[in-house]
Parts: sequence; C-alpha cells; structure tokens
Amino acid sequence: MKDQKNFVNHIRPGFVPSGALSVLYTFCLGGLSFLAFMVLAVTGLLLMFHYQPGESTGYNSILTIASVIPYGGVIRNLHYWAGQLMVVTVNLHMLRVVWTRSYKPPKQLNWLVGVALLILILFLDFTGYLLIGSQESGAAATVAVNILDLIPGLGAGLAQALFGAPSALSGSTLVVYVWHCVALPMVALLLQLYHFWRIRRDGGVRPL
Amino acid sequence: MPKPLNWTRRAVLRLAWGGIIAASALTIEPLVKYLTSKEDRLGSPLVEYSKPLNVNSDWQTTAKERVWVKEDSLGVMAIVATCTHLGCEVHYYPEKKEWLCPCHASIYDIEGRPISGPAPKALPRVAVERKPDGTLIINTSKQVEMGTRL
Amino acid sequence: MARSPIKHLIEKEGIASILFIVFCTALALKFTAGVGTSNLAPSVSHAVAPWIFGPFQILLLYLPPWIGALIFPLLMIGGLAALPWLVDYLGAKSGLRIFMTLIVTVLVLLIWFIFKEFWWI
Repeated sequence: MKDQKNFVNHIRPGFVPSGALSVLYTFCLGGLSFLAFMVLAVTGLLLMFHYQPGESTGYNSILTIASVIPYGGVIRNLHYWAGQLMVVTVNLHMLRVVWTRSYKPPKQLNWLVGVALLILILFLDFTGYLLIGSQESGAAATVAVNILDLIPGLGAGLAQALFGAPSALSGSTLVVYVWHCVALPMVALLLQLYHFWRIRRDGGVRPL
Repeated sequence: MPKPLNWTRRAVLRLAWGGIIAASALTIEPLVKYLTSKEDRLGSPLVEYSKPLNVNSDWQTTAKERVWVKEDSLGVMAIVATCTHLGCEVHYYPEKKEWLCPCHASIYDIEGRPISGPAPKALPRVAVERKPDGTLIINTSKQVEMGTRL
Repeated sequence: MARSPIKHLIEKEGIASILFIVFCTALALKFTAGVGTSNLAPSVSHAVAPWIFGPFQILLLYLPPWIGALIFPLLMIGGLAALPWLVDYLGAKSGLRIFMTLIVTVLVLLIWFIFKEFWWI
C-alpha cells in the first residue's frame, strides 16, 4: 500500500519543475505516445470481441469487422491510425530526448528502457500487420521466419515461439495473436510505468 | 437580470469537461451496437425458397443470407451476393443485367463473373436441392461450379 | 529550481490529449485502413511492406539477409542503446551526430522505398 502511494506520488507529485510545463521543451510527445497506447488498448480490446485468429478465419473476421459489424470499420481505423501515429510520436520523442541531451546521467537507465520500448512498439506494429491475415501478411511472416532461421541453433525455435507456423498466404496465427494482444502490451505497459516513475526519480522533466 | 458570463479559466475547464462527457455519451450507442452484433455468428447454411420460379425469369432474392435464385432452360441455380473483394453485399440490377457492389464499385455480369473493379473472382454459386413439395433448399456452405444446375 | 503546481501540467496534458484524439478520430473517419489482398485471390506478384518496415524491405532487396536483417538492425539498436556511453567517449556534441546518422540512414532507406514502390505502381 505504501509503495502504491509512493508510485502515484511519483507520477503525480504536488509540484513539478517549471521546465516540465514548457510545451516547447517536450512537445508532449512522451505523453501523447502513452495516450496513443491507451487508445490502442481500448480499440484493440473491442476488436478482440470479433476477431478470430487463424489462416483463413483471421482474414475473414477482419473483412467482417471492416464491412459488416456496426461501427467495426471505424474502430479498426482508429486502431490503425493510433498505431501509425504512435510510431511517429515515439520516434519524435526520441529525437527530442537526444536534442535536449536528456539521456545523460542520471537518466541513462531510462534511455535504455526507452530503447527497449521502441523495439517492443515496432514488434507490436509488425504482429498487428500479420494479424490482418492477407497475402501480404503471409509474405511478411514468411520473411520474418526465414530471417530468424538464419540464427544458428536458436533460430527455428525462436521463430516458432514468436510466430507459430504462419502459412505463406496468411500471417494470422494463434501465437502471433497472443503476443500482439496480451504478452507484448503487458510488457510494454509495465516498462512504460517504470519509464514514467524513473523520470520523477531522476529529477523530473527539466533541462539538465 | 441575467448573470454576466465570466470566462474564467475555471468556467472554460468546466465547459471542456461537459464536452468530454457529451462526446463520451455519444460513443455509447455505437459501442452497444458493435458489441451486440451477431453478424459473425454462424447461422444455418440452409436457406429455403418456396415461391414458384419461371424458366428464364431473372434473379430472385430469397431475402435470407444474401442468396438469390434463378431458373433457366437447364435448371435452377443459386448465387450468394457477397462481393469477392471485401465481402460487402452486392445488388442485382435487372435493367442493366449486372451485379453492383456498393463499397468499391465492382461490377459483375448476369452470371456473376467480374467485369470491372477490384473483385478477384466470380460470385460464388451454391448447391440447390428440391424437397418433394417443390420448396428449394439452398446449401450456402456447399459451393459448386458456375455451370451446375438442379 | 522553480517549481509549479501539477495542475498546470495536467491542464496542458488535457488540451494536448483532446487535440490528439480529435486528430486521430478525423484520420480514422476519413482514411480507411487497408486489408491487403485476400488469400483466396490469385497470388499477388509483389507484396509491399507497410511503410514502417519499408527500410527493411530495401535492405533485404540489396543485401544478403544476414547482413540486412540481422547485423544491420543489431548495429542500429546497439548504437541507440549505447548512446549515453558513446557520448562520454566522443564528446557532448556527438550524441546528436550519432542519432542523426542513424535517423538519416533510416530516412534515406524509407524515401528510397517510397520512390521505388511509387514507380512500381
């Protein structure tokens, strides 16, 4: 309980350094990335009610959501665009951090967390693309599996763990679905909360 | 005498909250419709059609599961009016003898073969059987070749 | 150091959030997300990657897979992750230089990809 309060106090302290208020310093990019993540979580949850992973069911349920289910198209579009915008805001956020040299000690650990988050976001983007289950997604999944197979020893197992056994005509598998909808968002959320807590621990958003 | 409007920061923020709550309220109806939609539930694949069909009559809709039926000199056939591009429901226009998709403007000829637009394949033909009393039973889960007749 | 009450931060975050959500909704209402090609359709001759992975597709087109898909991305990630420590060795101004080198490399590949696919269509 005490730790919980401690966490909330770090995210929402009574006072913050005045530098954190300058929109022209941060451009709100980190916060907007988190907002996009939240939009993705809500719309993604809604999409899960009508999506069925699988070689042919994946693509068919996407078509059903996009053209038959009431408001399914809008929810899917929102999920798509929030995802595209998140990749943009995350990259601009990183550019801003480099520009203001906010990776310098004592913030180097948070920089590493940020790099890990970037990789997670890109992988989320990729698995989301596979879940469309179109021919193109099948091609992308096949390429990804073949690339992982290049890693001696580990490759084949890694490909199975990350993508299951996608066919050349559809990237939609149960394994990809679980990574995209549950495992990766969970890890990303935990890392993000740590990322925000760390900002306050390292002295808050301010010019060093 | 009406109270003069005072655009304090507090008043503007209260207005913003009102706007957010109103916008959220607008999402309730779409969400309920989305979550309660049964469109992706598998219905029975069997569709009945009991009205009489004339030889060389044009396509007649069964009004169920997008199935249309037609009889020509060779026999009875059934077609499913689902666009092969993205699954929208296509409509038959007897005056043009064409099927048109409202979503992306695919056009099919009278036999359901794609003429123009993004549709990759012909409209699917499905199996037809006749019960002793003359009612047609169309099995939408069983696709057949275009030339097949009952 | 000057400090300000958190409510001023929350106000700005709120305004930015509303603008972002309105922008996102407008995009969603105006532009429909693609669904690619049906896996029942005749196979497409050329599968284009989504733009985010365009740089990858260009690399894989011209380099052997183990360089383009393993070594190169690992170098990028390694370079990014090591940035705070590289700066210690190479001087304070090198951070932006290293990052810009990485970003410009990716952007050049992305623009290359866009032009290539543009002409393909």
